Amino acid sequence: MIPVLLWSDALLFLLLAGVFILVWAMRHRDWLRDPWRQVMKSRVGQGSALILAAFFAIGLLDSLHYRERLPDVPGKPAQYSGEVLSALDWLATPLRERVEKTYSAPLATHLYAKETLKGTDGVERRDYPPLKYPGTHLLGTDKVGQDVLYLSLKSIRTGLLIGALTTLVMLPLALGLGIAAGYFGGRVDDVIQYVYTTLNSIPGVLLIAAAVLVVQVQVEAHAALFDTAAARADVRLLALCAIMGLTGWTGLARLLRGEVLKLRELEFVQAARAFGVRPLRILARHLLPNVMHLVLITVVLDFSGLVLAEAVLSYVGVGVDPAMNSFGNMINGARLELAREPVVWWQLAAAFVFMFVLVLAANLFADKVRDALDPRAGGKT
Amino acid sequence: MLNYLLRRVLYAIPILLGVNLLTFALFFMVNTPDDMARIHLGVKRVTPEAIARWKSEHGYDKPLFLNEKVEGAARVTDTLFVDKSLKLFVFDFGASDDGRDIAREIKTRMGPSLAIALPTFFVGLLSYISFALLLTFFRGTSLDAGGVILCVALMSISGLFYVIGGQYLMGKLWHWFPISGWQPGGDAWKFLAMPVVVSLVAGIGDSTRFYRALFLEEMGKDYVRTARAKGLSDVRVLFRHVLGNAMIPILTGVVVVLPRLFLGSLIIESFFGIPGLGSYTIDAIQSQDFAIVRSMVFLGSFLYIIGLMLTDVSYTLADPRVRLE
Amino acid sequence: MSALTLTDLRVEINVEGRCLAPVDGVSLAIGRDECVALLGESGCGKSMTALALMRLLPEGARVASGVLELEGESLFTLPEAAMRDVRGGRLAMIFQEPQTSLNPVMTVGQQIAETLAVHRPEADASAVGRELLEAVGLPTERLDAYPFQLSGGQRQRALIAMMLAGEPEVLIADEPTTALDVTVQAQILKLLKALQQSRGMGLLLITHDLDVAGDMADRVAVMYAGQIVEWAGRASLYAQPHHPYTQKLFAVLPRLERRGQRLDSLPGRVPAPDAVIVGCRFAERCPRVFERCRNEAPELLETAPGHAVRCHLFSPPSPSGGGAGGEGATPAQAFTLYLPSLPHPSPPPEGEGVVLRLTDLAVHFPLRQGLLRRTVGHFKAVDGVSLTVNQGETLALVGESGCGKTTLARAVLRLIEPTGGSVAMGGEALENLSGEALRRKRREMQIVFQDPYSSLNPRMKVGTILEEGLLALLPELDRAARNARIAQLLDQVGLPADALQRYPHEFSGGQRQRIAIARALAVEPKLLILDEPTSALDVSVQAQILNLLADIQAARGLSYLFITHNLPVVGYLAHRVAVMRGGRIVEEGDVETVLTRPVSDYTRLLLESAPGRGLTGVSS
Repeated sequence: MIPVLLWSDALLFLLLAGVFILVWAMRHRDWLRDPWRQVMKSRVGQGSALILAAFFAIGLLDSLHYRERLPDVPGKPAQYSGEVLSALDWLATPLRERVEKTYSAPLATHLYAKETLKGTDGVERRDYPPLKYPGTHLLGTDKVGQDVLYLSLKSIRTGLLIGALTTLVMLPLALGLGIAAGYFGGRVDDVIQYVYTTLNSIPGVLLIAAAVLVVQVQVEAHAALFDTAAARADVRLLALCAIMGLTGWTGLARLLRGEVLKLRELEFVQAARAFGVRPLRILARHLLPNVMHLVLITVVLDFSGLVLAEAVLSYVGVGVDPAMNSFGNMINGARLELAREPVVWWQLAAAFVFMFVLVLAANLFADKVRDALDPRAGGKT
Repeated sequence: MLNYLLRRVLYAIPILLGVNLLTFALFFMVNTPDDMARIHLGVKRVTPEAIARWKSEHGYDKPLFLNEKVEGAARVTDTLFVDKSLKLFVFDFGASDDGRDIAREIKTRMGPSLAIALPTFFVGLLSYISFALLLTFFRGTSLDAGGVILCVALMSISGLFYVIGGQYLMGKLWHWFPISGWQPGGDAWKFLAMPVVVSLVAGIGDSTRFYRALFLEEMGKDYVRTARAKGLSDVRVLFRHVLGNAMIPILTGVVVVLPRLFLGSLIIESFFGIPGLGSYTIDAIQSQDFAIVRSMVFLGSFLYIIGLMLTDVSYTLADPRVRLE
Repeated sequence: MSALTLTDLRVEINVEGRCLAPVDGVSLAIGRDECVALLGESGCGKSMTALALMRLLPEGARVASGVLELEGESLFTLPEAAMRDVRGGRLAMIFQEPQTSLNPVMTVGQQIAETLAVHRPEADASAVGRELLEAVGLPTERLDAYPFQLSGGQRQRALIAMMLAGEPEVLIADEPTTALDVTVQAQILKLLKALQQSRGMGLLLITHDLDVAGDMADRVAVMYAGQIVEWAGRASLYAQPHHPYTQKLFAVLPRLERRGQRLDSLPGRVPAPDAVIVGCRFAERCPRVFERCRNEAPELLETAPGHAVRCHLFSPPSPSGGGAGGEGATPAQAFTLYLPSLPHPSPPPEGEGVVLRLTDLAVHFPLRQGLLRRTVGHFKAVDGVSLTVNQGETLALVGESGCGKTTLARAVLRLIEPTGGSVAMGGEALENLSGEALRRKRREMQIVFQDPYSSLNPRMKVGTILEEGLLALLPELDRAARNARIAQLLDQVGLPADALQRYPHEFSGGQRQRIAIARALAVEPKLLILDEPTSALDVSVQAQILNLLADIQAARGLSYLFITHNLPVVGYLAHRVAVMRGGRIVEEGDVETVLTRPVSDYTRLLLESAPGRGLTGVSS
């Protein structure tokens, strides 16, 4: 096998490394460390952090990609499969390979629909055909017989990536532009405000849709650049994150601008100016640390919104690649099956429950983070 | 005040121009009309002639900014930028890529969109604020704590779940309303009821929690203590003082979206088969009809800017500090 | 007969599972037609006591025990609905912050009418409203005004009118003038006194200011760490304070008469609310502490008719006998007011060199209006100020809020660009300097701000804060030299060496102000601009900071531009004084002359308004 590093994997690991470095650097700063201790003291904080950690672990496992080596043909160089697999796939090999013919209910022993079967006596009857792997599909199987649990696990990475990479794009923009607008004021402020009012004025979904459509056309036009289906899906995912980041920075930027407007008049900033400390240093040493709590709160709060947005965008047709495993695509594929008799509910239910657990954990965690970091919200929620 | 509004109008022009340039850049420069033609023609029929024919049929066969082939002012006016972008300023949306007049579509589809969006908006605002006031009144009790947990749970559920679940329960299982569809006239309410109810339920968690936080922030202010020191009852403090002051931040969030109600909701209209502007937009996205998407982007920005101005006006009504300055 | 009697009030707060008692055993009585002052420094529990009287304690706090009677009716046992009839009716309260205490979206008239609707539903709201405005000295047309259209003093008057609407028997005023300028403070105090007397009302005045209490009160209760330590008639208390704490409060006050003397100070800080104290709560800081104080909590006992004190110096010998009295137990000794007379270390100014010279300094802010935001005029914050500060001298710049004194300070430091005039430092004009030359000049002047909480970056350790100026202005120093200088600074301002590794929030207000002073001194300036450096501090801490400033001036020959509104501090500390109003200097001269024989009407008004003069020269 050879390892495959998709762009999104690289960014995700980069992000992870960044977080680790940040945590390492901050371990002696009481004002950053203590709030997290407070979060982890509460039961809700511990529980939600544990769930989030589990989701992240799955997502990371699913980001270690490789291509399998095909059986050697004598006299030819080694061949590798076109299919990109991940460590999660390898761990979940039984789930992945136990494919049925079509739908089957959770833990069922027979397929969902009757078929014409030829019995051992040679007589044809209409009956539910038995499954190849009866009783092993905890959450049933989908239209083409794939295990729904496996699909759900695979969708986690997509949700996390959307949340994490969008934040990665959005954060520098929001920080840089928001703080600059607030601190420098005047023309700088005017221009930045103009940019974010303009971006804000365009309905979000339409802007994302427009940009994704454009990217799609470009990918099709340069199909040669992307050799595997995974790479194509990956570039679309990255584009989606980039676009959501480019449109999503305005809220945080506005918040930071307002806060910095207040902070820059505070005496400790004036004292630094009286020392002739240069503006960039004032931004980095005095302003940034004092808005960090707002940044953290917003990032954690936005995360759950992004996971939910993925599903909606996929429905609209401007989300991730239709071939990619994602909660949105799972819902999209399954919603029409509600009209069947009997109802095929398990695929929908699995997607919704997995999303609900992830988003609820993120929301509860965000609440605790806000309580710990925001002195104003102290004890209110 | 008039001066102020005039200034806002003047400020709106560069923003709309910015939106216009941005969409133009996306749709005509990053993506070229040739790309568009290719998508619409499909892989099999792409020949240089077919592309040229498609472009001239749809009016995409002009240069972007400067037309060298004609004389005089037409050099700059007879271009794609003027035709496809600047004309939006006078609400000349032109024809969609399948040849229909966009302006007429917008006019006929506005009605159904508003029929859903308006009741959702007003009933929602009223009920979310009421719930939030209730929780604020019982702050610190188990009712409040339970309410907040419920809100967090409700807002953690995907919006699609509310739609699909609502259709399944109210439509398929209980047969209260038709699952989807639209019919103008007296029976319209049958088709409206479910989308409205579903949108209302989907918004409860988020909004109630947001308004509750606003109210609680006001509750902590000094003037509330003064009001209580005067011997006012909790109910009066909450309604007269807290609500009156919280209206100011509430209005900022609410009035700005008011004009955009015209555009309808993409998801709701598409799921419930409402022939409004939301489903129009979503169809356009799915069929990659860039002419419609461009028009809707411009219309959306225009309505947002109207919303910003309305916000300023509403401020003056809610906040004497702004009104009398 | 008392209108309001409070017996053994105990207020408890639950903080993270621990139960604290910020008010512990407070008893008070306010007679009809009497003004009682509840006096104490910040954190002593006086505001909590007031809120408990109104049953308006913040969430988490509760009245644990105690009895409150208003004209014989017990209030703590009333159901909440009945208490509402009392609140704002028979018992009313006004608050410290006039800026935030009124509802911004309701007119004054509407807010008065609300009180009337609850307590006097039969009254004609607009007629009574006008009467009330007249009573508090506001023009009747202000009934239709919104709070933002009123000045701070007017808002406080409006708040008083609202609270008078219910015709209270007792009015509680929680630091009603602390946020106001001296001249406005005098007017509001005078108004309160007049209203109390004309209406036959009881007035409970909560204040930290010994002079305000002296002007206003008939009886005074001194509070310390949640308890009343002394309770006496005004005359008796001001003639002979018994409790060592009260004596200290008098001794730490800066005065013109105390020029050249080192102010007495009160070491240590108020015990934390969760501290376990067996004996007297003041024992740790008391100059006259003896063994019994640490073992046995003193009772509040009457030593003379109407004069009670909580101190073992006045207690009868303990029944257990052992160690009773102690060596300092004779009351006669306690009656002598402990007055320090240490020599003031500051030498008189020699006036040799001019350090700072301002010539026609002006800062104008443009006022813009209309469609295109054209400049239609200017707000002249500083309007042609000429001043000099000599080496080793303290020039006090006195003025009320909005007079431009803070803008002036910032313009001198070039934190705001002046629009006209000249600032010369050591003979070199600053306005033409930029870049490296300006940076060098910045070394020569530094600033200390008023608010010790916002003047230190909460995200930086003290060591980093002190290092910042050195890194910016003296980059040639290496790490060892920087560390040596910082260590020396810490020692000079009286902070422990381990402070470097801690964050500002771990320090008290006074300690933070020391850090701010050390930060400014780090670059060895010639001029220190002190912008109200003590007005956010308690008087006992103020004394420490003033002493420190005097020591530093003596040691380094530093010049001070001392910006303040507090005339007693000016009298104590400054060599010369300039009085500022509306962006201009209205009077300038040496301190003794200006403070005793003022020329300008405005200076005279300031002097007459200063508390401690019995409010005689003030018109309400």
